[in-house]
Amino acid sequence: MSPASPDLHAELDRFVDGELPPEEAERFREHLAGCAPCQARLHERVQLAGMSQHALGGEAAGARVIRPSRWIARATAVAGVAMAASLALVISGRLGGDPDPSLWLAAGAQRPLEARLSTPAADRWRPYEMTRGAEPAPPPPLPELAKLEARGKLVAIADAYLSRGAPEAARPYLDRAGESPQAFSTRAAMDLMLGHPAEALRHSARALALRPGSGAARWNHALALRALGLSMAAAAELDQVAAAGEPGWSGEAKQLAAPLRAEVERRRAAYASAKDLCQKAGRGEAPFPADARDAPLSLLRSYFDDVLARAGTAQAVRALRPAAEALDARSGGDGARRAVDRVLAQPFQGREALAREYARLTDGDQDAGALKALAERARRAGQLDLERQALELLPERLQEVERQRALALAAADPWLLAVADEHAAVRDMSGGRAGQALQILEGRVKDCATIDRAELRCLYAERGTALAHLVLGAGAEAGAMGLRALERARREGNAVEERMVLMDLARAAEARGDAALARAYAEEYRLRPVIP
Amino acid sequence: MESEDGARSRFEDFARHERSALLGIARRLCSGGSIDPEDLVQEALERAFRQRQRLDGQPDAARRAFTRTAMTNHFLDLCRKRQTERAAADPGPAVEAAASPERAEPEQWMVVSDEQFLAAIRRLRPDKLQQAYQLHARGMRYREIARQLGAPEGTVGAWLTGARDQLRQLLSEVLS
Repeated sequence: MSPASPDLHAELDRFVDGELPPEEAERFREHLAGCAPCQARLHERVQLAGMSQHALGGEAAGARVIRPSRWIARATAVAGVAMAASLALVISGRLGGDPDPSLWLAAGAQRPLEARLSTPAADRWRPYEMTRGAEPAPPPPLPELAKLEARGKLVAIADAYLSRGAPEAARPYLDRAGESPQAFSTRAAMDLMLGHPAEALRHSARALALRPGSGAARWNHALALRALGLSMAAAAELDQVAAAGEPGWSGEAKQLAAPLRAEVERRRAAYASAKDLCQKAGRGEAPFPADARDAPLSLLRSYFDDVLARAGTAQAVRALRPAAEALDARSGGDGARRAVDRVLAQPFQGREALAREYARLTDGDQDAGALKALAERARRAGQLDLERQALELLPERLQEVERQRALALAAADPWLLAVADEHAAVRDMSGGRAGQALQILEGRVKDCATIDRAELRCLYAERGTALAHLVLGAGAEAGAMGLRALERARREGNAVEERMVLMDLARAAEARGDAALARAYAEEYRLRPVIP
Repeated sequence: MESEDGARSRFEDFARHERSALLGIARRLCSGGSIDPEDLVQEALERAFRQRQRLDGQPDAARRAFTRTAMTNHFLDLCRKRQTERAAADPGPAVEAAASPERAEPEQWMVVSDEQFLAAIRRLRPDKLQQAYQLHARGMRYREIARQLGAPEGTVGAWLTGARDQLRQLLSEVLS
């Protein structure tokens, strides 16, 4: 072993990084042959290089199909195992040299795509600018593409098309690009451009499974989650991108994550505050919040019926009329006003005591036996609203579905009829008659398509339909209906139902074998704040 | 035999994904010389293939570490062989003798998981050094990193050496 030259030792890293000019590299290899410490260090550096490449995603795009690999041919002879003659391996290669970044429009001051591309030269951070309606970029120069194709750099070609806003032109190259993390990540970018976020999620998840540290794949995964409305899961992914500290991307990730969380928090706060105000109204501490902004109408109507049942005197009931009118004006019906009128038409004798008992049970442990007894007493005293409210509090398995329906019919109130339908559907589903439940609920969903009124409880009809499909093993239908429910829950500001629908969607995705989507929904469910 | 078929098909999946990463390293080790990087990768995968039963139950990170060690060993074998040939052709004092071929064993690196490695990268300091390391791992050359971070190329080289020394230190508990 020769004495080590300190100068040459210092060159080891530049040698491993391919940064030495050819003649210096050759001199270093000669030195390496005689330097045991350098050899040991080379082992360490190669391990670190390999681990970094894997963890952080350093490979350039591109894949090519080659002949059955020699190692398989040789090893087959060794192992004595017959190999299929057609076996061809799809391998990824690294881009040689420094390709012209203009091929991916990477020199501009702004980024044309929000998603990230896999080719390093294309994946340079610049501020993203939406260019809706702008002049389309000219197609990439064909001779350059031909050169890339000859070298099997199919993902790099797809990236060139995507950076010019031409996802359909990128597709055929990706179809041939094999199963590298880069191909999957670029495919996710293409899916996002085409408006297929569930596909984007699947493809970015596959890229991440192969290379957990790929910043580009994680970025695209976050965008897919965001496009699916899974704000908290998207923000969590963006946090990871931010933590990785890639210049530019890290800051943009933080900027994207903050409003996603803020919006979820805004909806949670609006729901929780409306609920709090409703409960205060029930205790007589505040007026009924019929005009609470951003409060879901279904929450207000449920609590309005509760507050009305607590009103023991004609005066207290009449005092609720303005709130009923305000509520009806918002929901476009007359259910609340008519509920007040129905109570005013009932005898008030004995109501006060029953109303007090109702409030005590509702605020207390909601003991089923006591509620049933109260319902019976209210029925005998002609306090039908109190009877219905008491029955409503019973656990689902003790629901008296037929009596609920009779009361709803007597009131001719679409809201109450919808509630009765839902109880019937739950009973059918748990009794092995999911098909029957589906029939009831699907009819209502059909109505909701033409008449969109709060009184129809469309959100509950859609969610129930999704569940019935799920029980019947129809994962795709359950998923489609669940998405409608999710969209509606969001529109109505119903943060509690929104969270529940996420779990339904996770189960639907699982039922149709979409593990990435199931995981994403379940994760979003887990990250959503619970509203007590 | 099912287990043999299973091990082989799992190895093929592994090789398909690992090949490009190995080739990236091999091309740099061989640049400007006469060793063929494709052969280097081929030999490394063959060595791993011969050990497929032993490696089959191992995590991917361990299989990759094994294959990288095999590739480095083969690369050093070839460097020494060439050195010996040169010495035979020209027995002057200028030619360094080949160092005794002490073969590195991969076991040491096989215990580092991806998560441990990513955690170590996040602890690199100062921040610029960490950024330089991340950009380099994503395939950027020194020149481009220098441009992105507004530093001279020499500084980038020093950061990268510093980053690797830090990583070695940060992973030392796992490695020992």
